[in-house]
Amino acid sequence: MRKRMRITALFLSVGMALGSLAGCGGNTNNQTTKTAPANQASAEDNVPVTLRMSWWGGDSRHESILAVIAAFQEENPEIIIEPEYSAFADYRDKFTMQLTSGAAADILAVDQPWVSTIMAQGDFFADLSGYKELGFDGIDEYILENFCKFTDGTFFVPTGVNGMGSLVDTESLAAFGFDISNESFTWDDLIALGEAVHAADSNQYLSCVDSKQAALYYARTYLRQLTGKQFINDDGSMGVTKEELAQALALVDSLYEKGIFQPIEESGIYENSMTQNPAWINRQMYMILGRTSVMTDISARRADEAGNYTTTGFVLPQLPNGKETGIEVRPTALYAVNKNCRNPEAAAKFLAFMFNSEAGIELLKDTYSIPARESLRTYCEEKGILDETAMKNVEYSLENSGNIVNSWSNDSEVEAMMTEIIQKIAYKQYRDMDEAADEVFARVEQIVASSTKP
Amino acid sequence: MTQKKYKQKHFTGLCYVAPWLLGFLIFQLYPFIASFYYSFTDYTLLGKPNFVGLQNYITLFTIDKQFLSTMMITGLYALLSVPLKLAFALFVAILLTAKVKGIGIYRSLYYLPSILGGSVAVSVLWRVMFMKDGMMNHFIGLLGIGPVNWLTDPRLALMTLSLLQVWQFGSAMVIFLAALKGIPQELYEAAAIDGGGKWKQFIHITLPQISSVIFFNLVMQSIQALQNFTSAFVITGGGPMKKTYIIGMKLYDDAFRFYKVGYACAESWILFLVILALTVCVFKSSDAWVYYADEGGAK
Repeated sequence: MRKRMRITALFLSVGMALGSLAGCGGNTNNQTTKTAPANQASAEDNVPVTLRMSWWGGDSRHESILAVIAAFQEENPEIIIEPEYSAFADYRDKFTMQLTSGAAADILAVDQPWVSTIMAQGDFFADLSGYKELGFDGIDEYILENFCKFTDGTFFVPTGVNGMGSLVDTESLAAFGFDISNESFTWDDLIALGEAVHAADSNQYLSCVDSKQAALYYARTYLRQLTGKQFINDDGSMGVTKEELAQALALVDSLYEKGIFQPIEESGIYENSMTQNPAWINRQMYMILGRTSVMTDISARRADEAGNYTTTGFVLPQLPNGKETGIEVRPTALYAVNKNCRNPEAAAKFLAFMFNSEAGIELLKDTYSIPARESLRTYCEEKGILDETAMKNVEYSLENSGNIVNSWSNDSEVEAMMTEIIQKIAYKQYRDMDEAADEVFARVEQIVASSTKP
Repeated sequence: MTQKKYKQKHFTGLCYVAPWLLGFLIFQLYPFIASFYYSFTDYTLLGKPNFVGLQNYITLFTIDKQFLSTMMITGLYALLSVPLKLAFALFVAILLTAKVKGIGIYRSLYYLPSILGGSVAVSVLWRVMFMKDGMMNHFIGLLGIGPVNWLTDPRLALMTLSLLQVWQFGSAMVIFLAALKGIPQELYEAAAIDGGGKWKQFIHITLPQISSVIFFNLVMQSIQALQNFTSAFVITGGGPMKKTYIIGMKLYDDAFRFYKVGYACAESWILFLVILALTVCVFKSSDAWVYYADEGGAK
């Protein structure tokens, strides 16, 4: 009896120990790449290979990508793609942890602002430049050279081209004299329109915004147009002067003051989910500034009962005689192949199907904005499978793109700090905007001083 | 028992505790030691950690002004939530000592919020309840009070978060309930004969008799409050204006949003030391107010 108990206990213990250790993958980023040996099972041998693929997005993106996977597997039954998807908010933590522990998926979606940090700290992704089927030659040079290529090779496949602009409720705004054809729409025009909207009904506001968006698409855009400079230089020093920054912050202050933004006491609960604000859903807000890739989704969420969109694409407000347009053109997202992927050929084959084939783009549609290839853009236009608003916005953005935003200006800690500053402006915590600018300068100095950025 | 049999028995016992022991070593002791090491490095999750000595600790106290304000907010959160939670748990526990029909059902019902715990789902529920058009404003509206911005008013947001902590009073309540049931009834009978009313009985009998349990709950709930993360993360995201930015959130942001893992480890060690110091203080003070029957009363 005792002997049996001992054996049972030992068995359980060993089982538990192995179970625990199974999750303890070491950090493999500095180890030798696990490339497939010559005799390794691969897609070419028609021996099934399984690839894990991870991405973020909303329901419509998940559905589109799952449809692409299904279509690919029908053509390539020997390659099995295992999907792992989540919302953006959850994706980054999981992505980072998996990447560092060596447990990342074989095919990974990466957001462009993360790239410089990741690439500077390790050798995580496979060089894809040798895979002709990915058709890097056909990708817009601006996107390829600035976001996909690094000194050691080409590591990223762009999903699409993301521009910047605005989404407006043309029908509602027509009553206030809004003209959709006015491509020289300025910040002053925005303020005048917003004041008219709010004067007509104190419960309605021109702009749907949260403090993060106010920092990104109002203060930063205005500052870029005003100065044509990086917010923070590559060496961590400030790229703009206090006076210039105070001017940009004053714009945001006046937008809250004049009722163009909803008071933060009411909109604050919808931080990071501003399109769930009842005022936006009930058509008491009429304009959103942002990136092209989210416009279709936002429009779809506010469609009327017949399913028709109530919003359409429009330009980004401009500063007369601005130093640049403030329009940031970049890939909507990037896809990379894990350096530890045992079948990079199969991964490249799948990415080629997804982003470099007519069959793939017909299923993806504009889930990643507009394709980064002219040939596929033309194909989509002919077939009418892309949202016209997104298409026009990307064309406009490509024609009017501003400077590329550097790593420091895109830094997530800086972004979080600016969001807090905007909240303090909205809650009237500063005597004037010079005081707010002083705080930004001091906080940037702190962030840079405590940074581990290489 | 022979030496051999004694050893075999030990071996069997060790095998049974091995799963817990392994779990403790791998998931608690190892991270504990590793975080101490990483707190002296510039570890970023993605790259190799480099030894930076005391730099992270120096930065915490000299450059990062937000660290101290975050610690203050966390302390205020604990000060608001812990006494309220203990008082409410004790109040409900006293009600549940009543000899009424179906008391078991009541006890289970009152424990339910604690089963749900501080999960994301409950936090989302809390957020919806305290929105401008939420249930709380509906209730106070019935009393003729105008809508309150519970979560976006910088003066109220932390208190609203604290209420969620108070609502999860179940575990403290169960411990109080057990202690209350252990108080000898003769003490109350004697007090009643001497003319002692309910309030005097509560002050002079109940509180001293359960003081050791109050002490236990105070320590455990304080630690729990100081380590809170989920409710602030889900309900307010640390806002408005970082008024609910508790240390758990800062740790998370520094480690996983800003990739400053070494720095976050240093913060967690400071938090650990603060909790340790507070716990030691509470233990020291217990000599003055905690009654242990086997020691013949408080010193």
